[in-house]
Amino acid sequence: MGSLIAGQLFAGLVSGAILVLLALGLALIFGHLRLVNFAHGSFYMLGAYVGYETVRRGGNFWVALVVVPVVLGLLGVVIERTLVKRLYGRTLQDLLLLTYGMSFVMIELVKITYGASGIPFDAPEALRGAQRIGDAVFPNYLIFTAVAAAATVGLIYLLLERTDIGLIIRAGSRDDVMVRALGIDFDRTRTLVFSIGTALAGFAGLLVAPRMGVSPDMGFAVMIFALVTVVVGGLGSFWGAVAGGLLIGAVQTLAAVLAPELSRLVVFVLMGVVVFLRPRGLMGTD
Amino acid sequence: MQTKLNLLAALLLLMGVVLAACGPAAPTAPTPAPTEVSEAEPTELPEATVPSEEPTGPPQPSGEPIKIGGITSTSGFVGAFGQEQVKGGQLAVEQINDAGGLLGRPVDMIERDDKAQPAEAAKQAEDLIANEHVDMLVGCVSGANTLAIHEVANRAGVIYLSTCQTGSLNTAEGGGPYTFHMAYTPWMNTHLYGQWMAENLGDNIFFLYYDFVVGHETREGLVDALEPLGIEIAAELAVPIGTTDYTSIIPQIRAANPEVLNYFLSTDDRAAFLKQATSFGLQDEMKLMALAADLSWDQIAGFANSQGDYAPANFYWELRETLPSAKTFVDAFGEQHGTPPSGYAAYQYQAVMAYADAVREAGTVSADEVAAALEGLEFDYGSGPSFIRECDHQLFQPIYITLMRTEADAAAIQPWPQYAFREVIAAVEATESVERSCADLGFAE
Repeated sequence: MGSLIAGQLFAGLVSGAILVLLALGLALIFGHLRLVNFAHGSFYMLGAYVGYETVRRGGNFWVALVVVPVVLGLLGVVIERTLVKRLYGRTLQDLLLLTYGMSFVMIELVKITYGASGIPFDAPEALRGAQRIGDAVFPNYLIFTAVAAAATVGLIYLLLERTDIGLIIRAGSRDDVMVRALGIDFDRTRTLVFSIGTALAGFAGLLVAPRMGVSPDMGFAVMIFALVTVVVGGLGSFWGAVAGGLLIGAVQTLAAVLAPELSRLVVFVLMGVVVFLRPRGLMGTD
Repeated sequence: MQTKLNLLAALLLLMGVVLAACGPAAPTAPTPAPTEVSEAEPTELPEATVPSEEPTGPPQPSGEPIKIGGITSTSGFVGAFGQEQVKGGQLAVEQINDAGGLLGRPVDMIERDDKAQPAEAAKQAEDLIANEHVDMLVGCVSGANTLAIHEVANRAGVIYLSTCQTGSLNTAEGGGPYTFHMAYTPWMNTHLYGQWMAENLGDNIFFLYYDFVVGHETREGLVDALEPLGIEIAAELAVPIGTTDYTSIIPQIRAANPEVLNYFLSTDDRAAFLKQATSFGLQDEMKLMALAADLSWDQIAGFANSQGDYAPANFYWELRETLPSAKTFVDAFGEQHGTPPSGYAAYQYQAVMAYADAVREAGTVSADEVAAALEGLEFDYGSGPSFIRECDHQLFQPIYITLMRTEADAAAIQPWPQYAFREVIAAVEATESVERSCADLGFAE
């Protein structure tokens, strides 16, 4: 039983790490742009396809780790500049509709290009195999996923806390009028934040691809759990996204053992409890 | 801010309830194309039979065409399987026309995409019957869609040959006078492979399956198939359709420590499971046996992730080495498409060929007379000796136990080493004992 629980907690950590990356992007975008990006799951899916295409064109997984965030970041720039920007100042519903519609467009374009069926995407040779501790097995690729996600979270933290641009982003999240009054080009900052969010989503999609394959609909379910993570952690909160993702990952995988029939419901129950007891989320601010 | 958060939370709760209740967006589970396990003893691969000789210089068909409506899912997440069915059906029509047509008339195939949605399948069936005046309908990838087509076809008195797995069409309550089920039922499937699995791989069995109608039907069949051996399923787990993350499920399977993991997962779910099972080294700890194998599925999962995977199949293209009928089918298909046919293509091909034989025997396309000719029809169009039982209009066909090859071993298999995923290691003949009796299914003896 001990190795089973250890295995489940490890699985929860890895699932949670992916949710953390997605939720961080959502939180950054919401905190700065006041936009709930419903297309986030599609950027996650596109990240997996860009990774697949990178490998197919002669690259490899390690190259894809660099190419995917760059390409998805640039795509974020284009989309923010051409579409999202036009709706700033409009209602929340307008932005929701835009991103929701964008999501379907991206999925359909991928289906037209690559077909509706899944595509295999293998982990590199160096990350195959597993580590055994007692009866518990920890696949190397899952360990890599956890480490890569943790490193990315660390980099984003350093960007936000230790750089001038991070200071502007944090200030803009609190009071964009004041930031503008200081002569800072706030439009550029918004573009940058949106592109960081899309790059994070794409990177998460790439990390998942060798484990679950690549398919046009892969972003649908995970998007819902990412949004739940943001709500549980607190809208716009960096550490809230981290705590929320890990908590949901752990709760979901432990429930799979202790109460399998409830494992898909339990995170929504958790969200309901958090919203009821602490409406701004675990680490959100008013 | 808080109002927005509450709105978002309410929206997510609603979506969550839907997700938890229904599983992800995938509309219906594709039914496994191949597999049948009979209570009969495993046998050597069937001996080759002499292929029928082609008539020389057949007369050109003329007159009003006989119309066949093909309805399957050529788009959506099972689109690749539907496209295989289209190819199989079209090859059959071409061969029929090349041999002089049916009753001297040409045969036309009209293909429709049901988009993997039952409502669309019913709509296409209605349109094909009302506007195209088809004489027969054929095809399906999912159980839900075939029921929709069956309802429309039987109401209109049109022959329908269903080519996907379901347990709902060969019962007195669910079937109909014009519907013929030309694929395994979940019950047959498990009775064809269950005993072979227990006797050859181990009797401590973990069953992983879809929490869905066909998944539970399959479980029921497996329990019954193992009962004569005094074996019970040791442990089991049902997962929603669309599950691609097995990192929390595999430790549970390991903890149960079975000899055999028998799993019913398909398409992308199956590929993801095999990949993660490989990363955990699951194949080193137990035997894996899928509920079904198909070339289309193996292409998604690939060689590296499927090592040691056993699976039963209604057809695998390497049968061409042992079955002349399979060689005829595979070579013709390969010549046309440059690839070997999958089990989905084989089902569709044989359904159209069986219809053609029945029309020839009946001497008419009248549904009542063709239905009578289909009842009890015996044939072998590439999958071995097969027959249609009279009472429930159910196909009985051998099943082939396959084992995944290594990519290095496949390199020696011609003419398509890249598609030589599986080796056929045993065959199990289909007798009536692999399905419930006519009386058990509600038919009068």
